[in-house]
Amino acid sequence: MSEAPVDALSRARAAALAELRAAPVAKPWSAQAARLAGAFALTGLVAAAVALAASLAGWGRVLERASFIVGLLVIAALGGVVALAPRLRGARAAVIGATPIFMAALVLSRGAGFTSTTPAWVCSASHVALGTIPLAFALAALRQCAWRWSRALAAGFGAGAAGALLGELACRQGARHVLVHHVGAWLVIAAACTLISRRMRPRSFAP
Amino acid sequence: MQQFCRGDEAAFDILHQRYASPVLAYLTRMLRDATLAEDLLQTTFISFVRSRGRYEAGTNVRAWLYAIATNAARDAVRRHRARPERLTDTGVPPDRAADDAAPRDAAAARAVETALAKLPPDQREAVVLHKLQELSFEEIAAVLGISVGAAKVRAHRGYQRLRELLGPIGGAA
Repeated sequence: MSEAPVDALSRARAAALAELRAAPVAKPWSAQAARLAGAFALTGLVAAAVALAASLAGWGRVLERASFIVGLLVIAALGGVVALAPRLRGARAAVIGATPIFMAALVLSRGAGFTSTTPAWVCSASHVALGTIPLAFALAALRQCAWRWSRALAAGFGAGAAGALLGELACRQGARHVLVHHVGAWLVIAAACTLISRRMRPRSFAP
Repeated sequence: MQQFCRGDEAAFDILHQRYASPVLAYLTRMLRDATLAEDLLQTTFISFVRSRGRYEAGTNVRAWLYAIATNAARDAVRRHRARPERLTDTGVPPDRAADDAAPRDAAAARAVETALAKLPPDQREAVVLHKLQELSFEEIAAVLGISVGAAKVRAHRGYQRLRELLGPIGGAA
């Protein structure tokens, strides 16, 4: 073998050994996934707690929408886990497939709803604003492995669930409003997660 | 691999000695850019170290490392595009091309490398991994994240296309 590849091999070895010495203890993916899932769910729960404390919603509303609130927390947690799992490809596909169905159920469950004096865009803006917190966690976490659209989309759905949880509690408007201003905002978060993570340079290319 | 995951440098060295050269050859063939391939070898091994927490016991180490290299190569192609002008048609730098083979073999190798470069990326990955890196279809499936059947189909289509591109050379080979 000629000299240049030997240099290349030595350089790769030296760089990798420096990395190994800097972080001798490997961090298991499951811990990272648990942190991400926790960040998604916690953001939603904190937003719900603030909504309750600020009297934007009451406990009656929580009970009324309990099944959807639980569903959103499940999507948030699963979205975080399957986004980072090295395998679980089937589970990732299931989350990606089930979330739009859940979104449709959210919309259809509202019916005519109530009219509100609050401008509709406030719902979109608050959903997106709240979603930026878990989105930041998702983007940081997605850099730890090779980019896959399915990972990014699952993480985006999980991140967007936090804002949806706030919407379930604080907004009582009808199906059309939920479709445009809540599901729409959720999709914006998911799309942003997919597109931004695509452009970010990964820290690792591991599957 | 388990010792390496616990931070054992000697274990890392064994893995590096075993796989670094073949991975560099693979990256060079895939990218047709020796300098970029050398950079990505470093990226691959840094990823290998950083992500050892993602390694799951029982996973084929060679396939896992090739998967990292494949992902790094795809990302590099997408971001920068490989720069084939740095290489000869054989996919090695000009100063190395003459050393590696006798002139007649070099001509045949050049024809094969040129034909390989014309394959769609997914077929080229399968053919290079199977024929040149000598991975099994099970390993190729793990590298590319597809089923064994799909890996065989990609390689088969790649070989078919290579035969068409190489014509009489391919028939004689």
